[in-house]
Amino acid sequence: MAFVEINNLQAAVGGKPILKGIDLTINPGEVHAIMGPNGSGKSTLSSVLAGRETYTVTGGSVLFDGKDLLDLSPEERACEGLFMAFQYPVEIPGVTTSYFLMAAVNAIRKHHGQEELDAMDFLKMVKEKMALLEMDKTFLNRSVNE
Amino acid sequence: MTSTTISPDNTGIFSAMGPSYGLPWLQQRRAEAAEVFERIGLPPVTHEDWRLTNTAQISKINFSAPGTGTPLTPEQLGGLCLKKLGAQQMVFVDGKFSSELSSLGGKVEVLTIQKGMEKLGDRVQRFLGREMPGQSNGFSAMNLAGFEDGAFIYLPPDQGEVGLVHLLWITASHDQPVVVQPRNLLIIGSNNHITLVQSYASFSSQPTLCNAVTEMVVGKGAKVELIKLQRERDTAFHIANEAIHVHEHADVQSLVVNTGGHLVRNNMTVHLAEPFAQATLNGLTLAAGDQHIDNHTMLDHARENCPSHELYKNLLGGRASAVFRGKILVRPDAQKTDSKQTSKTILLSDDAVMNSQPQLEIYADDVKCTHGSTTGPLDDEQLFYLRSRGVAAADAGALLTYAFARDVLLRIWHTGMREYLEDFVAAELHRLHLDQAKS
Amino acid sequence: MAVLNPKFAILDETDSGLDIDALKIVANGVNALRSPERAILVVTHYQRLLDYIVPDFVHVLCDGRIVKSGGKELALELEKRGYAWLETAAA
Repeated sequence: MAFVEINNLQAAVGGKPILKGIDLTINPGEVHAIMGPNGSGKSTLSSVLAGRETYTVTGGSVLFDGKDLLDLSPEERACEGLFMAFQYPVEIPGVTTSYFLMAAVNAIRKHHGQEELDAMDFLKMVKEKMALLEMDKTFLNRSVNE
Repeated sequence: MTSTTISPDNTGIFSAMGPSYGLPWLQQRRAEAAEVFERIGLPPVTHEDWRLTNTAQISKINFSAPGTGTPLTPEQLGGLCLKKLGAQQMVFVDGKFSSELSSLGGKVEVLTIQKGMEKLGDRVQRFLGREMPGQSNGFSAMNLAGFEDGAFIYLPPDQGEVGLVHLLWITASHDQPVVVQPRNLLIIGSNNHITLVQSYASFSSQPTLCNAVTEMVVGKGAKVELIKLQRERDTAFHIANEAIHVHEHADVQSLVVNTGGHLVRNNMTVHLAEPFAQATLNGLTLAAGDQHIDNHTMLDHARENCPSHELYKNLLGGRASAVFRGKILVRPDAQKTDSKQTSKTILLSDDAVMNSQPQLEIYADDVKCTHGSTTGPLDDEQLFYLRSRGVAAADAGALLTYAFARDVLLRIWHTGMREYLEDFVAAELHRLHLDQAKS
Repeated sequence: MAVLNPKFAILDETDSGLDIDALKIVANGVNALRSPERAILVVTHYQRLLDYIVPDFVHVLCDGRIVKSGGKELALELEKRGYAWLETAAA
């Protein structure tokens, strides 16, 4: 069974059809690129997959690891393992990244019935993963996406 | 309708004169203030400064002076007590100094005004009513005429870092409406560094009126953080008139946190009286139910090279309403003024109302003054961002409101107070969200 | 994002003004995320990003439909010829 299976996906914003029937299958380990001119519906596709409520799904289905993705709230999709990178940074003054990431990681662990991390374990885990992404550790003390 | 109707009982209690301790000058100031009150009464809604806060409700209630009740035990202070932060603490219950609940030992000589009259009478005479005279408004007149006691600090110059002083005002439980009139006179000599916290709490299910006046002078080169925590019950009326006089190269930061009260009005006036004086005025209001919280600030730039910075934030749920009016006066001699004012509000319900008004009066030409105000619901993009990272919608809302409030608290200089208020505000936000969930 | 350990990552870089250095950082992140258990969808306007993230499949979206799919060489062809030939095909 395919990992991500998009069948005849249709979506509209404000009554205007944007996606007119997308079919796409992605298997684990694959990297797919979607290209196209401005206004072709690229951003709508990623927004619909992430669960942004400004878009209305008008037809079709999306199966993700055997689950009906369109039935899930954005947070449930994240907990199931969907991650969407944001085009523009979302600034939240007052929330430091490490504080936020801890809330996010623990939400996901809780969803999977795992024990939530305490601050020390969390910091250790973050440092390992951050090294993977070659990110500057000072990033951890900035406000979210500042 | 031009003025509020005052019931005969209230005329008595509101213009009653407090003790004069045999001091003719005090007797005279009180008499003058009582006369002012008789003439102007409580501010009517027709008064421009009181258009959005109707004090008529106050005059309809039959307030009386609190009698001597059952004394509070230290346990009853609970989280109000700041001794664990190493604070010198002065506690007033129903307007009367409680030596049992206070712990005054420390670097600062903290006196009651009554004691101050005996020990440093000429200084009290010099400063009492100077920054906040009775003529300012009906409430300041009423306070000067009738206040019973309060805190008096006269900190001599060059003491350096002297730590934390906590002034705690509690209105105890009563079976009838009572009025308490705190008065604090805080004279901070030059080159001192001090953190002053005022807490106001009430335990009564009956209406209470707290009519407070705080006057402060900040000497040359001194650094003062003034934190006010207004956390009375929803039966409380709270009116505060505060005035701060700032000398050259002094730096004052004020934070006003409002979580309690049925109707609250804070008037905060800062005189940047000499060159290179600076002031930061921050505010945080969390209100729900039928609360009405009004913050008026006045930054008076009298001389050149004074920076000022204001950030007032409100989180409003239920049918709560709030007002922020920030007046900035730049006098002709105040060249190179650099002033920034920001007011931000998150409305957690459709019925909450915010009224924000900047008011700039500029009479100098080489100045920089900016102001900005935003009011709206929680940011959809931020909410979606958090949800897309797995945080449930309700938790995302809580996280965003906490972040919004914490942004103000992170500016607190005193580490212990910052942590104390972060915990306090987190708990209050929990209450606000519960209240929101119920409605 | 690695912190969240996703099974399916979507990168939408449609019209962000990433400079070459930022592009490389993003690409390095994505390449580090590549794993046999993980699916990755990169949404982009610029062929340039695909110089650093070599996709297994490229799909061209026009007017709400996928009009052409192919391997990484399709991206190169798009860079040379633009989208016009495909838009006509879609109409």
